[in-house]
Amino acid sequence: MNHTDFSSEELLPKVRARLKELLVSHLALEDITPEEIGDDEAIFGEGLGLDSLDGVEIVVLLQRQFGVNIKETEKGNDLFRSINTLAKYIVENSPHPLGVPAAASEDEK
Amino acid sequence: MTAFLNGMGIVASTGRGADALRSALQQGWRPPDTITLPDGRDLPVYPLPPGALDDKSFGRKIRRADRLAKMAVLAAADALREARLAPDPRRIGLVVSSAFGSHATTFEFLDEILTYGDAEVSPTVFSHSVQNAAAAYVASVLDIQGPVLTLTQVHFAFHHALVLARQWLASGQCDHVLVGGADELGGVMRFIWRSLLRAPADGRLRPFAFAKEPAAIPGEGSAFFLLSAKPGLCPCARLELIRIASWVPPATPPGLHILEADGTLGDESGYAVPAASAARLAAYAPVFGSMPCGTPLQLAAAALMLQEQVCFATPVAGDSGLPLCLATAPQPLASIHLTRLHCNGSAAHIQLTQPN
Amino acid sequence: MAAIGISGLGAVSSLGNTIPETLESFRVGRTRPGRLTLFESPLDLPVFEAARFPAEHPYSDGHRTREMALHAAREALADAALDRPALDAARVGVCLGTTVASQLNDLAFYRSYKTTGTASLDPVRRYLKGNLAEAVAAGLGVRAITATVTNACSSGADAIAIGAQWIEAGLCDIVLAGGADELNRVPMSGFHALGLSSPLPCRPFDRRRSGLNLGEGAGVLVMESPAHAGARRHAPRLALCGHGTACDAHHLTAPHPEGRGLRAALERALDLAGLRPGDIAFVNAHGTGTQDNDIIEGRALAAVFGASLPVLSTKGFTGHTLGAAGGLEAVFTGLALRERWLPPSAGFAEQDERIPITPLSERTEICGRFAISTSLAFGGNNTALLIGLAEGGAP
Repeated sequence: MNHTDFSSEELLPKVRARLKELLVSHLALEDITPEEIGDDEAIFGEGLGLDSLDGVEIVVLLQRQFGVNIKETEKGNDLFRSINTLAKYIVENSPHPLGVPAAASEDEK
Repeated sequence: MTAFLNGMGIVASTGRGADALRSALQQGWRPPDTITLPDGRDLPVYPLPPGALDDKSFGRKIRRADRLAKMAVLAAADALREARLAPDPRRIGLVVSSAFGSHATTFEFLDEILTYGDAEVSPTVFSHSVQNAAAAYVASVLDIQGPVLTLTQVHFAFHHALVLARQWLASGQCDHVLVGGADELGGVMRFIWRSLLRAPADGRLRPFAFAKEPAAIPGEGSAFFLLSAKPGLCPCARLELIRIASWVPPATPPGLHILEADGTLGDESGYAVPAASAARLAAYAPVFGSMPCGTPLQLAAAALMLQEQVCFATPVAGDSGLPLCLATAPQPLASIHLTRLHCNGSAAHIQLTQPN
Repeated sequence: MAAIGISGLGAVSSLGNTIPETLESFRVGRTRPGRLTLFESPLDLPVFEAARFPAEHPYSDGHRTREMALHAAREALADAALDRPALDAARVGVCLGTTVASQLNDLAFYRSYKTTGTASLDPVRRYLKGNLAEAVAAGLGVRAITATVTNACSSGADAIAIGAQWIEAGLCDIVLAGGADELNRVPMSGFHALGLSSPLPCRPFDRRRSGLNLGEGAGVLVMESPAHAGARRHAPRLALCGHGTACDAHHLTAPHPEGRGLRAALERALDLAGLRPGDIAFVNAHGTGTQDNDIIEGRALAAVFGASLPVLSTKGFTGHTLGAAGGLEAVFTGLALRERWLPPSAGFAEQDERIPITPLSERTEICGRFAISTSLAFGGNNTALLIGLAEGGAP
């Protein structure tokens, strides 16, 4: 099914789930499963505990997996606060909120 | 000045740790693995055994580290733990040496450029492709707040690391220095080895053939030592000498002279010269594989023998008529000397003696 | 530590191919970066090319670095009045820092391997023969101890500290030390991905700074033991009086928030030189123009020297030259001490209230004989070189 078959409310949980899977696999979070990440858990600092290098990597991840380009001006905003805020941004801005179709990914290397 | 090897760690094709090293040296020569390259050609290799880098004890600290950095962290952590000392973080330094450094991640970054374009590459891959990334990991995991340095060059990188480490101790800048080397065998590097060097048909490196065009079998691994100004609780050895110069015979014949001939030099006929003046000889590259910066692994073998007063049989002897150590047996060893040659005629020497 | 004579200086950068050209560029304020012309890149970022240094085509990775290093080394040796016979008679060391020239990063090689499973080994052979320090020694025709330092952005400074230690240990009488790096697609792309590159000319320490610009070049010192200098009746006008290096042990790309390692390095350098913070006339800071570096370095410098310390970053003149930076900036520090003036800190105009130090905004005469050059690197390495002017050493 295409993402246009879903409403925003229906899309959000799917995007959150996909985001959690991607964070665990791409940031090598070996000590946690996607299901263990809270929707409103802080991504940086206390919470998921990611760091500045993860932050810039997430920007690339969003570009490759969802086709969203986060502008410099948006980086300081609350958009990175939690899975929820990121998912909402993706739903609002991504042409492929369910993931870029058949994208070349690092996994293929 | 002399300095003391107070602890050592090793992660190589022999496995992880001194026990695994001892078993491998006792076993002697074992056949290399064979891998098939994308172009269909075969290459014998001595890789790390599967699971050698599996270690959950560091938690998230090394989650993004590449293979090279993980090897270095594990070996350095083992060396520090084996020393059973608790150095002041500000008084401990670190020198990491490598022949090829983070080449595998560098190629991964080139792949990013080709796949995604210069503007959309992974920052994580880039930051791990810098040559001092492994050292950065070791320093942050083990809290090394003294001087930290990475030397990357094909010849004598580890010897220069030892010179520097000893100087840091002599100047009083450090009480301890973790000094070691690491090299990994990534995919592209296997192609390079296969294309540049010839493998032996029977899978045996022959260090005592002193061949003009020796065969080589690439290896990989890391070994680290805690070098200290004073002996610790259970020092492995005393570092009596580290010198990079033209070949000069040791002042007193050592109990064992290890030649680091391993097929990476090119013309190895020059090794006949140090061999001629030795009382007892061995060469352990056939256990580790060929590595231009393989000295740390050979030094680990030397430190083990000195500590345990055992001479391990040289794994591939040949009919050289030289005084080779042919059988593994207890042996009073006051000193062990290691020699590695450079294609420009210079030589690098390390001499270890018993710590007490 | 007994001061080690700095007998010669050599430099190549966007400022010029020689020390006199460099001085002239500082004098007239030649600070603008330009567009990349050395190779193709989709990134439109300002860079500081060593435009007067001849470019080879096709662009061959590592070769330009070696050529710039050799050029600067020759200038430094000429400045030191050391000819081939003098070098042949001495124990010589060559210790150089680099990032680009130490990597197997030939894109055409990798592209061929990736798409066809095979590739010409020529780039690999060039790499194996191209160790920077060995290549410079060979290019000079000198038998020397050689080591190549790959400590990211502090490589050049670390190489100088190592060279000094070779002399202190009695291994060498003369050491050529410093760093070199050419502009290259890998760091260009990488720093951009990390969000550290600015699309505008860099503004070290400025409130509006938005990142670094890359540059290229080579900076080499000739250091000489007191015994060797004395024997040939040569009195170097400059000396390396102290050095310190310490690691933050914090993070791969971010500096320690309190500049722990930098403070330790500065204290060590002062301690070795037997000097106090008040003896330092100025600091040539690392000052890349990134948010993190400038704020942390600025605070650490203020904590050690006080907020009124004369500070400048020369990266507004040269860009961030990576492995060359420590070498070039040591040369610039020595040059300033010798010439008795500093250029303004190019790119700085507006104070960042969070940074306690205020870089120079105009040409400034120097009072005092000692200065420090700092270099901070990925992985948290911090190195400080303390350079002094001999009494009566000014022109």
